[in-house]
Amino acid sequence: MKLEEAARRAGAALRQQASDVTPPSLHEARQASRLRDGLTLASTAFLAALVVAVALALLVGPSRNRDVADTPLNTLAPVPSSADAPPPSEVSAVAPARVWRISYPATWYRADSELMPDLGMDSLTLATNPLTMEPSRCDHMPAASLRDLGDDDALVSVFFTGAELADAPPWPATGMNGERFPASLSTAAHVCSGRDDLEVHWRPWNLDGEGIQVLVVFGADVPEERRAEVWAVVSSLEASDERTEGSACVVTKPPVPGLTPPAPYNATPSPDDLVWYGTDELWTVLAIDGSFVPTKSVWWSTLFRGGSEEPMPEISVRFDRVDQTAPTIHSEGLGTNAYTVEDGWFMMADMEQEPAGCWRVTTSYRDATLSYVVWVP
Amino acid sequence: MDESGEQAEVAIRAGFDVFYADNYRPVVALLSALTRSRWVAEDLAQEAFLRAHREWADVQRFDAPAAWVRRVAINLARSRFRRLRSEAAARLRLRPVQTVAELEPADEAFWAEVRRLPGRQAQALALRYVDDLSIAQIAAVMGVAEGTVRAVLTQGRARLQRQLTAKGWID
Repeated sequence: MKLEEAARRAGAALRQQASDVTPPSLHEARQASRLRDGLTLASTAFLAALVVAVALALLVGPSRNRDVADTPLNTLAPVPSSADAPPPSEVSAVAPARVWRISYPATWYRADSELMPDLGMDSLTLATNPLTMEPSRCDHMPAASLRDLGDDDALVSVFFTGAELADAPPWPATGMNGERFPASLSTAAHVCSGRDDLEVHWRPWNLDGEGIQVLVVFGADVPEERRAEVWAVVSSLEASDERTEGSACVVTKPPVPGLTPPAPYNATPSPDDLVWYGTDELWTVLAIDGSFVPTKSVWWSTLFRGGSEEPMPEISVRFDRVDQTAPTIHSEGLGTNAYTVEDGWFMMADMEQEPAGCWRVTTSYRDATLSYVVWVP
Repeated sequence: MDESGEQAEVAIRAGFDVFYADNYRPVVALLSALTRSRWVAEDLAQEAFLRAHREWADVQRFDAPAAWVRRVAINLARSRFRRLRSEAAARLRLRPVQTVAELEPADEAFWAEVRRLPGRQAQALALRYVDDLSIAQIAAVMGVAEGTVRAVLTQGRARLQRQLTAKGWID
C-alpha cells in the first residue's frame, strides 16, 4: 500500500468513527467543562504559589544574582540526591540557537517572544509606537499592536522558524524594499487586527540557511522618509556566526532502556521516543535524545497513594537557571493529582510555559529527589 | 431587551447552532488523530466550541469561523496539561460514553505514527487527510502561508514514509 492510500483510508476511518458521535448540548458541554476546571483547582493553587515564588525571587534578586553570577557555567554545586538516585546519564550538548542582529533607531519600541507567548517559536517585534501586549485569539500575530498601530506608524516582526522554511526564497543581503517584498491584499494580520487599512508585507524567507517569517506593516498614511527608515531596519537583519548561551547547556540524556516501573504502571511511556527517567520512588518522562518535550511537570511514584487519599501531594519542584543569572523558580508542597487509564495515578505541578533557557529541574517527593537538565527553546 | 434585540439574539444563536452541528464531528475526528483518545478529542472539541460560543458575536464575522475553531482545538490539543486534564475528566464524564466503532489496527497504527511527527507536520497531515482541507484552508487554520503548508506537508509525508516503511506497513 502507498502512503497516500494509507493516509486517505486512515482519515476516512476517523471521519466514519466521528460520524457516530452525537454532539452534546451546550449545557452538557458546560457541565463537562466545569468538571475539568474543578480538577485543576489544586493546580491553579500551585501556579499561584509559583507566581508568588517568582515575585519573591525577583524581589530578593540582587543578592541571589550575585551568588549565581559568581558561579561559572555548568559547575553549579551538585543537587542533593537520594540514596537510590538514577544512574549517571549520558549528556549531550543541545544545538544552540543562532544570534540574530537587527539595527533600529533608539526611538523605536521592541518586544521579544513574550509578545506572542503561544506562538511556539522565537520572535522579535519592533515598532515605531509603543507595543500593546494583550491576549489575542491569534497567537501567531501581534494582533493588539497591529490594532493600535497609528496611521503614520510601522511594525516589523520576525519569526524564527529554523529548518521549517528552508525552501523559502533567499533573504537579500542588502536593499530590502517594497518591490522585493511586495504587500499582500489579505493576510492574517488584517483578520487578526480587524483592520483592512493596513499595508501588510508577510512571507517566509531563508536567511543563511534558516527559515524566517517576516511581517512588515505600515499604517494608512506613513510618510516616505519613515517608510525608508523601516526598510532600512528590515534590511539590517542578519544572522551572525555567534551562538547563544544555549550552547553551554548540557542536557540530561536518559539511559535507554529507561526505568521500568513495577506493575500496574506501563513499562514504557508513549510515544516510543520517550523513556521513563528516575527511580520507583520518583520518576518522570524524558525524550531519549534529551530534547525538550512539554511533559516535565508530571511525576509518578510508587509511594503516591492516589488522588482520593492524597489529593494535594507534597511534591516540590525547583528550576535553577544554569546558563546565566536568573532567579530560582521553586514551589513548595502544592501539587495536584491526576489519573489516566494508560499511566495510572500521577502527580502534577504544572508550568504551562516553561521559561526559555537552560534549567536544572529538581523535584522532591517524600525522601526521593530527581534532577535533570533541560534546554527550553 | 426590545423585540428587535430578541430577534437578533435568536438569529445569532441559530447561526451558532448550525455552525456547531456542521463542525463538531469533523473537529472530533481531527482531534482524534492528534490525541490518540476519542474521549479526549471530544472533551477538547467541546472546550473549543464553548469558546466559539462565548465569542460568537466576533467569531461569526470572521471569514472562516470553521478555521478559527480548528485552530483553537489544535492549540488545546498541543497543551499536554489540558490533555491530561481531559483524560482525568474522562473517567468522570457526565454523559455515558457513546459506543463507536473501533479503528482498524492499521488505521490506529497510522495515526500513532503521525503523532510521533513534529507538531506542525502532524497537524497539517491531520487537517489534510482527516478534515480533507485544501492547502489554502490548512494555511488559514495554521495561520501560515500556503507555501509553508506545502513544505510542512512534504516534510511530514517524507518522514512518515520512512517511519511506516521501516515498520513494513507501506511499500
